Amino acid sequence: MTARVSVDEGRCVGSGDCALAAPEAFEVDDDRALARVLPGADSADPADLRRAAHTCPTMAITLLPEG
Amino acid sequence: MSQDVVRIDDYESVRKALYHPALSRTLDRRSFEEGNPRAGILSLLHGDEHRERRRLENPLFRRQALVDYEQVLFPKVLAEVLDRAAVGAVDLFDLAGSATVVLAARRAGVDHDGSPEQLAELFEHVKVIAQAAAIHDVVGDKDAVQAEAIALLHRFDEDYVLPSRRRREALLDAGGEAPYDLLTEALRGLRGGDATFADHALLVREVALFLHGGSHTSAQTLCNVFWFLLGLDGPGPRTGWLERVATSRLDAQKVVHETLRLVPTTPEFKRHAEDDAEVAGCPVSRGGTVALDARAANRDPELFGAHAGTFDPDRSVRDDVPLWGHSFGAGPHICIGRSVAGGLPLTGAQLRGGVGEAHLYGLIALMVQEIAARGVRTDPARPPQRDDRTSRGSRWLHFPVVFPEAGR
Repeated sequence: MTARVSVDEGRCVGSGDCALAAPEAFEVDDDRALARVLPGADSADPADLRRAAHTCPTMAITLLPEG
Repeated sequence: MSQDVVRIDDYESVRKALYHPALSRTLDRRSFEEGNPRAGILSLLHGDEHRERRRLENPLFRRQALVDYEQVLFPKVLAEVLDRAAVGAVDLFDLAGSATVVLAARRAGVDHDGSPEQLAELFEHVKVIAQAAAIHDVVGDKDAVQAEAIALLHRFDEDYVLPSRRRREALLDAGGEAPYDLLTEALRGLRGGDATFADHALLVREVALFLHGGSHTSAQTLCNVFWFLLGLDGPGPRTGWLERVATSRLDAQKVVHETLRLVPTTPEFKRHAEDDAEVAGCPVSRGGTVALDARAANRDPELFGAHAGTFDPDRSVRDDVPLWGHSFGAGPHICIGRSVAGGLPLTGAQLRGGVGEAHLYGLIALMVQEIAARGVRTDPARPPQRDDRTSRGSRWLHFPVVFPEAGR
């Protein structure tokens, strides 16, 4: 199953937890101190994506089921 | 103003409360406002100010830095400290402090000569700061603790922060490459028009926070780990686990996370209601206090099993829950250095399915592994001494142990 992944930039504090939990789906832009969703994130390991969303300290990550 | 104290002790409710936007860590003027040793530091900010400070400081904890700490820098530092000091009777707390303070100083931007004397002095400074950092849990004269910390910060500034600042200023003036640390980034920010650390005294307090946060808790947790591994909680040495942690870094990490779950550094998180709010179903008045019992939440049998109060690093945990529970907090105020100390969380799913190559184990697990491998034992002549200057119950004043005289 794939998921549509998004980051709320107003909430994100650039903790980098998402990039640690799901490096194939997220990276952090340190110039803006914000997480960025990588191309192909939607088809990353769902367990990694759930862990990234769950560990985000500001609940900035949303996963919506696709299809 | 209401003086309500709302107590919450179940895991999910504590998690929700830690994310609640109306709850801050600024509990009272006496402890946290101008003139005291913690005024304006990261961990006490709230709302937009806290968000901006996090954005400034989070880059110090990126994956590459964590990998460098864990795989390159700390193994070298740890080997040097243990080769020098892990012989005969030693205090495990000070031994661990001498190792962890090196990396904490590097991240904070505190230069030192690397000598055992300076490392010991820095860790003695950390012990004073640690008392003031947990001021609400101080048993005895809180004002005396605050005064000692304020005096210490002046000496710390003169001896360490100011010289470190001058070196970095000179490097930046010359267009040279300054070390990547909190102090340098604060100075770069000032030069770029960010006035966050325009007040040098605030910068000193923030550097002290990083030095303390990066060393004291890890050294205390290491002692708690060996409290269990050496069987001082009752059953005698857990020889099976001592062997496992000496040979498996994942087992060492599981032991660290299980210890953190049972003995969280901060057993109770206290929060101040900035507005009237409903927290986990409980009404809380503006000005009220919410006490979040991490120790009880971490023993929730629904998540951690029927024997959640016992030491069992092989326990089964719910898929989405980390073995360390709420020991590093959660939400916006989650411990900024948790990945350095504890590595990446071990959720129930990972405990069953395994961790990948990119997994990080944390510096405490490295210490546990190496110290167990060197044959640490209890000191029959000197039992560990708890720090009874705090009500936390998780801190040690001294933790005497014995290593074989001839090393390994």
